[in-house]
Amino acid sequence: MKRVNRSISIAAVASLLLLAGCGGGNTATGGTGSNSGTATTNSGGSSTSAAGKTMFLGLVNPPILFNPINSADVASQFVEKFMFDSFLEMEAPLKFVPKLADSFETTDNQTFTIKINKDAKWSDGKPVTAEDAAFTFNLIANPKVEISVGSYLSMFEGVKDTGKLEDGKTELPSVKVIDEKTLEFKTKAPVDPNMIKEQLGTKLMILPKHALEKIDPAALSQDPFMQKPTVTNGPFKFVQYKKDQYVEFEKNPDYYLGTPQLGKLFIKIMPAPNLVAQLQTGELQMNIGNGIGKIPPQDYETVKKFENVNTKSEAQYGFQTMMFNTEKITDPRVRQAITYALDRQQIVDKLLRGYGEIVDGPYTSVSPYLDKNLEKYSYNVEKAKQLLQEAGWDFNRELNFVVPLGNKVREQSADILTQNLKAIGMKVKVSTYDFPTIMQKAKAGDYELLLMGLTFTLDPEVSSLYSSIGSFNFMKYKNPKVDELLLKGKAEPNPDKRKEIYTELQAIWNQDVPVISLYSDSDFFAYSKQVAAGEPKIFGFHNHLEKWSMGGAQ
Amino acid sequence: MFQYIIRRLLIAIPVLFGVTVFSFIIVNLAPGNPVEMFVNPDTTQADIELKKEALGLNDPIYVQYFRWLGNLVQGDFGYSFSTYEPVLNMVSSRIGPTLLLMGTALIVAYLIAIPIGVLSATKQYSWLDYFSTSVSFLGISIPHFFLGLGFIYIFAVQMHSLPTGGMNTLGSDGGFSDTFKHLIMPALVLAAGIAGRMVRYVRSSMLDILGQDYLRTARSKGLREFFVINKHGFRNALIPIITVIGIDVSVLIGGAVVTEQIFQWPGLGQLTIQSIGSRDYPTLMAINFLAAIAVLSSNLLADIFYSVADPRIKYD
Repeated sequence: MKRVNRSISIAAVASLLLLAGCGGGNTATGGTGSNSGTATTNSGGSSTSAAGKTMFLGLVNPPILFNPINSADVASQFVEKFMFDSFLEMEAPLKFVPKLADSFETTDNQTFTIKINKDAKWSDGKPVTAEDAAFTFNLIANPKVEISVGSYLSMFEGVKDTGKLEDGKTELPSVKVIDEKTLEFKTKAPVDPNMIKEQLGTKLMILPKHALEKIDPAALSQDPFMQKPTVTNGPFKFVQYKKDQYVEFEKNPDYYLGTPQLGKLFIKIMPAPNLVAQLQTGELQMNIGNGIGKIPPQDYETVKKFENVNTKSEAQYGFQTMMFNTEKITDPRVRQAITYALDRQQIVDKLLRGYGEIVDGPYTSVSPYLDKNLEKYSYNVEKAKQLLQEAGWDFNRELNFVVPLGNKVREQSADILTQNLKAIGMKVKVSTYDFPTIMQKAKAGDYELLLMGLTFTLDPEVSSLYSSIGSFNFMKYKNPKVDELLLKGKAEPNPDKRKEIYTELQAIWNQDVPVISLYSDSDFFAYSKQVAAGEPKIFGFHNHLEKWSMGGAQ
Repeated sequence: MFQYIIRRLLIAIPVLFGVTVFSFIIVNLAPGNPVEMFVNPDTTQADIELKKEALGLNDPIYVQYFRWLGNLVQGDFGYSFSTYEPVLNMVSSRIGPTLLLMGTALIVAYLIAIPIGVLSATKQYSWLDYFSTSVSFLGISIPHFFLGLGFIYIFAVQMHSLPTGGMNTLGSDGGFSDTFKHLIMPALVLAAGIAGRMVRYVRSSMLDILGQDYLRTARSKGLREFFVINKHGFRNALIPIITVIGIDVSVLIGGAVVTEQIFQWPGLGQLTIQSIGSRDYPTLMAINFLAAIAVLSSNLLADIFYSVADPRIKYD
């Protein structure tokens, strides 16, 4: 009797709470608009001072360190670009605009000349020179220096195939300082300038020689400079990084492209649901997007209804894949059958709520190299079953389907994909792991089907995925014709001829399907209506940060 | 008593050594390794090999362990495999916030739970008893992340009265009241579970005592009920409760991990999650080492408090 009483009271309390929860939900959209105007003032988010206004940006993945030549994570590379400038910016696909470099040119596609902006200087007043650039190149190629950007220099003349100099050497013979602001370097063979411009031009940030030349190259990674850069050349100066909480920047008043409008800029780090809440309360003026500060797709419709923010979604060039271990699923017909069996449209419609696209192959719709005439794999159960019959598939065989944790949409997509495979009679065992485990399983080939997201450069060079020696070729895919064409594509300086090569490659990959691209999800951005200039975007986010400003009275 | 404490401290040394060996093995057994987190399409195989060598990952595990131990003895926790920062700096900057959060949560939990538990027991089967046991059940069973997000929704998004996360308002100098405001939600979330459990322990412990003969004796002496309960009753009920406090420390460490994550509280819990995600061995080892020390010392403290609560308990 007593037990009954108790459970009744528990049930009563629980249902009360549930009711309270529902009630709150109904008023959410109506109530926020009227509150949002005052929210920013009482949340203490923004402040106005003589030094200029402050902006708060939201990021989900915490940056690891601020070593521009040794950061492998996207978040670190992204944050570094607020304080270190790259030579160029990519404003739109393959549209390069000058930044630290006034010009970045070549006449023979092999010898490149970079002219550094004559006004560019480091935050301590010293000019940014060609010596700084040469110093950085030499560090990257130095066999003792830990780096993560080796591929940028791998085509330079004088480096080994690994991208490093011979042991004992510390200077690249192909890099020449012409004068204080002019640098020249040479590649092993002629290459497409767009490839160099994208990697070396928009991604590489150079280091101050005068601040770092006395440090032992082998100990460079551990130097405090790499956690707290003291000498920078970007629009903002580093103030502090409260680990995993926020990065604080202040304006660099001597910035060569003009004094920034904002006095301070904070990049706050938080889980994605908090990002949404803080956009609503006005504690954030912007989310960063770009895969590292994204609004979850299921929340985007809610954010769109906030009255204090503008929103937009953009296609990106990262995409999700299902990889096949081609040593275990050897018959291409089986891989084709699986591709036909997957209802990718359902993932885009249900999980991405329509904000995404189905892609076949490694190029999304933003890539100029996508072959739009390529035959697509549409959802076709009958065809899938027929192909499996032809290939003599053993329906008792169980496939090990490995799914990484961390990306909610991808985890949910695994459920849909599993159902799709069961619908054609295949047996699947799903196992989920955290990322380091996934990498180990992927490398060891300890899987049959594997989900993984990939983001390459916009340049079509994707050897790391499809080449038989590629570091991302977890599929163990070996096709001599592909290897040959990939090398040819990398070495071809003429963009039109390159396009032909990559069109041919896309046709082969479409037949062999060592990996299926599942979908490319749009990125979602929201930014406060208080922001007068500046907005988050996929291309050229960091371009003209000095012009960013907050409007009116706050 | 003093000798007892010294003896306990001496025993702690081999225990700690054992903990480091085990955790080193377990940390290294986890699939994947720190260097694999560095892989992106811009990274070459040579970059990866160089890192492995530089971090000493190519050495056999026992060599790695003794190198770590050798440094530890000299007070050096090494440097992080992902951020390259000295581990000691990373960990020590996180201890303060974690202690503040855990301490506040513990105090709040006990301030709420002990009186309610005592009342609940003395007024057994009253509406107050049912209500408090139901609410405490809820406190135990509600997941931290759920309660945390609910709080954020109500107090930050709807009412705009509390900040959604962090420890200080950015751009301000912080100060006591600012930190206090940031502390309220995470401390309450963490306190909910502890208080829920504690109410039940106090209640059942008190119920045991309330039926004892010596309480009847105390009452028949004409003592006022308030003194009967609080002096004679509660003191004796304390023994099992102290045991629970000792255990709570390890539970608290687990709860803090989730809570710190939700509220971006810059404590050890958050650091732990990230270090696991990046297989940052030196940082994980340092955290394990500290957690072991915390658990050992909270057990020792509990034992000392036993003898304070009950003079019959003596240690020689």
